[in-house]
Amino acid sequence: MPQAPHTEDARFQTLLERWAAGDVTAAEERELLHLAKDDVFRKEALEGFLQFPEADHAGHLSSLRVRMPASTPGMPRWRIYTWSAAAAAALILCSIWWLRPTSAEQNASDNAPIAAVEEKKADPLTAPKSQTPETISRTKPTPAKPLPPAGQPASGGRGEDAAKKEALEEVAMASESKKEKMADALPPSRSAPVKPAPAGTKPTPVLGNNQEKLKTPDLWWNDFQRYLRTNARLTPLARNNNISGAVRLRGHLIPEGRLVDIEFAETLGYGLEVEALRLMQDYNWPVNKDSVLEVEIKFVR
Amino acid sequence: MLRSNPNKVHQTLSDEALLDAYVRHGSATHLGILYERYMPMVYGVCLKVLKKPDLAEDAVMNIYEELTHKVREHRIESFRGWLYVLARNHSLMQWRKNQRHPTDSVAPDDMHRFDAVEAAFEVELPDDKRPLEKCLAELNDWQRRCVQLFYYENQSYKTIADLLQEELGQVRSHIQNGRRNLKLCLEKAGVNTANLT
Repeated sequence: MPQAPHTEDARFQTLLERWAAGDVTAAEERELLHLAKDDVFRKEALEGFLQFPEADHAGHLSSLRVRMPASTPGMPRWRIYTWSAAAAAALILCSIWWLRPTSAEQNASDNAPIAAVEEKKADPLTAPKSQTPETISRTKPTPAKPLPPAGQPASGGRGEDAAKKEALEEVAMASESKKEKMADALPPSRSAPVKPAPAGTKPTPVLGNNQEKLKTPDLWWNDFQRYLRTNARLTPLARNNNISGAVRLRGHLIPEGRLVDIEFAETLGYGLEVEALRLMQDYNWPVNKDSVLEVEIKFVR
Repeated sequence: MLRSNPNKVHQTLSDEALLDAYVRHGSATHLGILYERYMPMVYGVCLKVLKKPDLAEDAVMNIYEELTHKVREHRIESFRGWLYVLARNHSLMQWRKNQRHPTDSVAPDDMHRFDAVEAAFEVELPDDKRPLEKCLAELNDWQRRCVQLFYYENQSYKTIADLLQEELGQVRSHIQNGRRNLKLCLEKAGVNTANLT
């Protein structure tokens, strides 16, 4: 009883892939040829393979499997882009919201000159009510400001202007340091708004809260960059349409050695996002890292 | 990571069911599974026309891109047959396009004349070993050793490659060339190779 074409195709392709990998014996090759003989699709396909016995067909087939968009199952590509764009926008909005000046800070900066002048007038040992004696003792004593020279008026005139200016600078510095502390306390992805770097700049890994690591980037980053340079290839569609440029994405490198929560910051289309995902998927990420990475992948001819 | 194994249930669906699911829901998974079902065959057809594995690989991806649009535009009765025609036409168009470049001048002029499948059949080894042994002796060393290991000792290409410490592609090439040379030699010796199947 003849088998259904689908079953025969499945068997044919199993044998074909075994043939490409060099695993077939003479008997299996004979079966392959039999299956190809009476079907034009299978026949032409096998002829293609047989014409180039030396080529690495198995390598090309596995490369095709990796390139296939089915690697992102369950969601059409346009939906992935839409969600990525929405997620990126939400991230930026969150960052802006977190870093906006609080109402207390706003009031402080609005009233800065007055507050500073009043503080200067007050006794330096008088602590705010919210501070406990312990905190007062731990607080670094502010060096006493030199009193205006005798004979100079305590208020008004040039001396008052200078004092106000100094007080304003102090408040501004205090506000800045508060902002920095607040940023440090936030999770890495929230610690600073992730802005897309201008085109052509080298992507910098953001390595969690440990800012020291920024100064001494891990060796794997160089390896990763080399990997990108070697493996980033234009898709045929992009090549045919003379597209080149950079795809930017960010993701979270988790300690298990995987990049998750990938979001695209800049896209080019023409299948290059899928290619970028493939590159991220194929890279052998280091383990025991917990960082948000921003990656620029250049696709050039 | 973003990649996960496609649902096994999808793998058992018919071509039509997968196609219908893609057209209805736009899910790349369904079309991807359906296309991967025929991908090696599409690659083979493209390779036959374009004659370069890299170009064939690119063509397979281009055909998939084309497919994502065309399956929505056409009413497809038999996906398999339709895909074959699409793959063939796409490859031929690509080949014609490449013709404009002076460096790509290899023509698929043997699309109909060359029949590697038939050629392979025609050199099934005959029962009468005498002319065969004579013809085997005429093959060069590599071809003879590869053919003997493959046909008489039932070894796979890979095993032969390991045994002879030769590249897999070279082994395949030796066997294929050896087979062709055997056929020519047997024909010269008066063996009717057309009846050898």
